Amino acid sequence: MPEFDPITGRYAYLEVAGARNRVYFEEAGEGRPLLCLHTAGADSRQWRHLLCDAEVTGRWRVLAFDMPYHGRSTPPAGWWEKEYLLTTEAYVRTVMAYVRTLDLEQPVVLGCSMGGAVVLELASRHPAEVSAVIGLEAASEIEGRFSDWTVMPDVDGSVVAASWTYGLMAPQSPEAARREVWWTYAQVGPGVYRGDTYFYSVDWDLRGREEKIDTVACPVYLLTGEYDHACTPEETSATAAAIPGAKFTRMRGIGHFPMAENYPRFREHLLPILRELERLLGDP
Amino acid sequence: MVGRSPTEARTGAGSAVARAVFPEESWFEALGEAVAADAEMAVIGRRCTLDLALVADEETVLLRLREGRISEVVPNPGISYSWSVTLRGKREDWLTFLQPEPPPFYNDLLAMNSRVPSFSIEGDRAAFVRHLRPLSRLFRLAQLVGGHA
Repeated sequence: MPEFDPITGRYAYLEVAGARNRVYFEEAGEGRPLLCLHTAGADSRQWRHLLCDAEVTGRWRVLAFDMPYHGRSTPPAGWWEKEYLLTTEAYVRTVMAYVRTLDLEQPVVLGCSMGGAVVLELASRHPAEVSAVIGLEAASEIEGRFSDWTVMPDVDGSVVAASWTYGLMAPQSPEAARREVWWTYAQVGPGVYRGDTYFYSVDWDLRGREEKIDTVACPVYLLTGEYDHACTPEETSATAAAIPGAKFTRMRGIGHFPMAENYPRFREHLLPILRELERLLGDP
Repeated sequence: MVGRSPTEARTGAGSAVARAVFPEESWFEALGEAVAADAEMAVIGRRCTLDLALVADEETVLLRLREGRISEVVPNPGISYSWSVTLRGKREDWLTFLQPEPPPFYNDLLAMNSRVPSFSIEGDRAAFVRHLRPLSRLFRLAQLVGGHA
């Protein structure tokens, strides 16, 4: 018998701000939707270990999609005449278009890095449609991640994006997993890593709006790895303290890519949160 | 040692390394041997030719890289020497960085540059970025060699 991962991949068409997007996604399991958002300059492959975790997929329908421009999702027509710069508006609209197009009822949204930031925006704007959010490696404001290096004509942007982000991982994480993160990053389209960090590090800013997030309507969990030098645990902790009712976890021996660089260690933090949400939210 | 896969486990301190302390000449010899023996550097280093200076407190060592090998190490380079990239830190910064599992923010040159105030990447940063992949490998090998005796 051939060996298969228990993952199904499909394409869906999303209308976002008048543009038609062919979007690739993967899913596994049954239950309440757990929607997973990848990091800047990457794609849904980062979630493959979670998608194969029977303890999670036995109770949750886990889904992960590639944002337009990423992975197997094509950029919308005319991309070659536009500078790719992801905005908060466009990111929120894209995620909500996916939720609505797939008719996902009351999903929990789990995102990392820029995905971790946008889940806070979802909790802020769409608490009636999103039942809870889990943000990894996110804070109210991220400084210094937007730069032009990866689009300079004498720089191999994809290799530099991969090596630039490699050091965000913990040295304790298995080398094969870290190398896989590097490999995925090396496949980023031109200007896409930079355009994503425009959202993460320039456009997005939660400062002064944290206390308006209603964690009764939409519980918020924030987790950050101790080796993350882009978003430190201290920065995440300060954001969690400013959101009434938000819960914060500092993850030892983990960096900026918990689900990809060291899934066995990350799941020790994630599973108790999912159990808590199962009790809190009940059956979908 | 969870993080050390077979690739990393293969690279280790040779006998010369046991007596080497950064930034002594013998330490750079040990690093040179590790770089020359590294299978990955043989693949990614071929086009890596760069002169860089490592500064630890007041001490400067010029490292001349040629096609992915350390071709020359010049301690305290005089006025006739030139280089494009300077990595400057306290001796203690370097010794904290130079171990297989450094503490948070001392594990990576870019991490130190942004989170350790006394450490900086200076000079021709474009050259640093263009050579980021082989330089990352070189300094990972340096961590596996270790900075202490």
